Amino acid sequence: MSEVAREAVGDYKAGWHDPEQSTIRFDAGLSEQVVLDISAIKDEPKWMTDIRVKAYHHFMERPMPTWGSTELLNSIDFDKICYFLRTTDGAANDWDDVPEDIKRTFEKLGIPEAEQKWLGGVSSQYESEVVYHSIREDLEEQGVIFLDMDTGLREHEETVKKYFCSIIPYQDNKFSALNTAVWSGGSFIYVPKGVKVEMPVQAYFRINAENMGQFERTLIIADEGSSIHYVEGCTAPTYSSDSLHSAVVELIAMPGAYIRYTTIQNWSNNVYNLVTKRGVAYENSTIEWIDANIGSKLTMKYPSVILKGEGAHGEVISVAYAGEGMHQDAGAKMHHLASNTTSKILSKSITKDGGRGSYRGMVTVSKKAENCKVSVVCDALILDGKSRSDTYPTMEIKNPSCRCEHEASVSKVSDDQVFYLMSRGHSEDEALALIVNGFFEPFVRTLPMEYAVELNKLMALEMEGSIG
Amino acid sequence: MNSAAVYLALPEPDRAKHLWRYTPWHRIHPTGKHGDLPESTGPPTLSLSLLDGEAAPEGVTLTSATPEDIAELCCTPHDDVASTLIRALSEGEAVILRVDRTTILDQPLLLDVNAEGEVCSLHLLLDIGSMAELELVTSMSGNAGWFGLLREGRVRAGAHLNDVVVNRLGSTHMLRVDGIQVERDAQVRAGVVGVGAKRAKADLRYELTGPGASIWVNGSVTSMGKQHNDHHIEILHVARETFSRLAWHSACGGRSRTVGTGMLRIVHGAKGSDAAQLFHNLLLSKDAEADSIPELEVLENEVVGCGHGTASGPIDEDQIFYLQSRGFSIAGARAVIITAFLNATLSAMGSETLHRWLNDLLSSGLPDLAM
Repeated sequence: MSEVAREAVGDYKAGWHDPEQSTIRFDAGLSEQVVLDISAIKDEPKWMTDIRVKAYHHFMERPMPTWGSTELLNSIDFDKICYFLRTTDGAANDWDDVPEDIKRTFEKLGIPEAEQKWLGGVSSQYESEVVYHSIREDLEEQGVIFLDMDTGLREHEETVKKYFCSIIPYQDNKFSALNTAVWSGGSFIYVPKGVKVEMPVQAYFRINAENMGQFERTLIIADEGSSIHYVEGCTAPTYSSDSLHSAVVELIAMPGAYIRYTTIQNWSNNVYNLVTKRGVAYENSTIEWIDANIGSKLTMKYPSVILKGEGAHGEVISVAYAGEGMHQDAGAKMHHLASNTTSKILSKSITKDGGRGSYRGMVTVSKKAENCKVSVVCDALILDGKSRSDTYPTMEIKNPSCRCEHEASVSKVSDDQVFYLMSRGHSEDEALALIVNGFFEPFVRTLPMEYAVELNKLMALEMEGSIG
Repeated sequence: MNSAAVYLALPEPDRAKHLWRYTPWHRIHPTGKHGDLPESTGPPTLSLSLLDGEAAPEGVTLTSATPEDIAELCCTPHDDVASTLIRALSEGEAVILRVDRTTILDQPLLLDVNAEGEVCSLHLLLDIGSMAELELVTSMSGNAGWFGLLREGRVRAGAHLNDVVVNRLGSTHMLRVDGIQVERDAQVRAGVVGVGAKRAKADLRYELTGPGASIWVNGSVTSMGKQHNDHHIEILHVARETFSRLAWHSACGGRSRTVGTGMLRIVHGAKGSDAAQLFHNLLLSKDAEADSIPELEVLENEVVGCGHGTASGPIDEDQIFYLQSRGFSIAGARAVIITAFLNATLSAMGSETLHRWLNDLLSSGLPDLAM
């Protein structure tokens, strides 16, 4: 990396970019023709084209949200975004078939190494489409389907048709409409009845080009009694102009199933990250969203669970870091529709250098949902006088048998703790990094060890020079 | 521009805004139409005395406010639709309760506000002199169709004020707005006791403007039948070393709905602020609903601590069982538990005398809730 590039990128390790080499690149800007062209390029069935067009019109008509960071939202120039960029002709199943420059990108990010050591499957998306895909043979033999979404639509059209937009309709919000109109890439996973996928499967999303829009669509269906852990990571180069990432993720946990969906979002500080994630949990099933938001210019993301079956459990553990020029508006939503359902939300955020961290959450308990239990805990650390932390929880309880608890606290790093650690021989920076790692510990312990180690290193890097 | 013109120039508040989400403006406006400014049937009847019936002592006056008083003591924003409506209905007139500096009262003051007629409103200014110490109970009663109460004022440096507002209105729709500034080293205990009104919307704002200022806000609210109680409490820490606590206990029965929203805002520079909010809801029937939304906005990192919490749930069956084993009937056991729940905040509102008076007042409505 050149000195100039190094200066622009700063400490953000994934901020480099490779020369753009596209086979198809659409002109910037969004129109109905762009939507039709994306669908035509993918040779999609008519019902998908129709839903894309309807979603496009809904997106155009729907006003921008009037809450969150309205200033940043209104500064998005949708006409400058490129909505489709193809870099390869199809997803490779063999690492050797991936083009050299893209291979280099993912090797720098450590993806092949991780796959060999501890992953059950890997999907790597570069710009608009998945460029590499693999799954362990034993999982394939058990009937586990792990495909990129485009292939999923081609090979399992009826299943996709049944569930696509069933949890998050395109009318849900402006950005789910945008995603539905121009979606490309993402993962399609089906886990058959009773199959437990012991090793996590991973998807890696990389934006390389400038002014790029990445709109992946993920659909995970865990059939009765099955389980899966899905991990996604996201990075992008540091450019002076902005990119947009607007994904939609739908999860379906059938009775007794278990889905854990882990996200480590480390977009560069020029990416708008406006994502809709929602799962529906049937009887005695569990959906867990484990969510780390470390990068991006603006993140607005509220993973949610609809607890539809009796005994279902939903959980969100999220951590956020907001540094200079960043606003992490993250949270969670739990909708208790059935009796004896339980949910737990744990949100932790750290702000420094003028960053803003907001928790925005909602819990609803319907009138028919008896004996539900809800716990919401939000903790925030503000590391300097320029930063800001907000908490906006909403709870609407319509059944009196529900036990519902919420607590939140905002504080600074305790001087006593820093002093104690320094008296044991740590430098000030080390002491702060240890305290921050301890603060994030409930999140980190849910991660596979390799991720946990990386995250701790990343946070230590971000915390350098934060005291004094 | 007069008050009516100011109100009519304001747009209808957006329901998307947190403050109007649960009780939209049209549901609490006297006619339901934002553009209407109905004629007021006059102010409520006011009487000021000590709680034991004696006349208000020297140093305490209740008079008509001058334009200068209004200009000095108005603390709500000029674009606030609720306070502007009440000002307009009061035709720019206000009453001022003034307590001279260093006045110390042994007995609580009772300001009785009797609201009757179709549309009744009161703009009350409070001017609590520095180093004064007193307890003030504002008791609202009557059967007005609609009643608007706007209370604004300042608690001057070093003053101690226990300020309890009791809602004993009949089948009234009530809109209440408070804007109180607490100055250097002043201490306020603000109590809200709600048993009346068919529909109530309150927007209570306290601003800690001087270093060392502190406020405890305690709420003890019971909702029965089809009552709708919506309280928004906003505490703004502007100065250094300020302290606030909010404890809110709501017991809801019948088909009632109770809403408690809180906003705790620590501005940049309010170093050493210490703030916390707690909302508790006791749900007593299958059709009752309670919503609690405590919010935090913290722009300063040098704080002692800022936090909030909510808890909602039914009466603990184990507690009922225990009390039954000690000889209580089910209804008796429920009444004891509800009383204790409401008393947790009621007893923190002021002196023993005040507490006893409030306790007697609340106890009369409890049998309905305990059924």
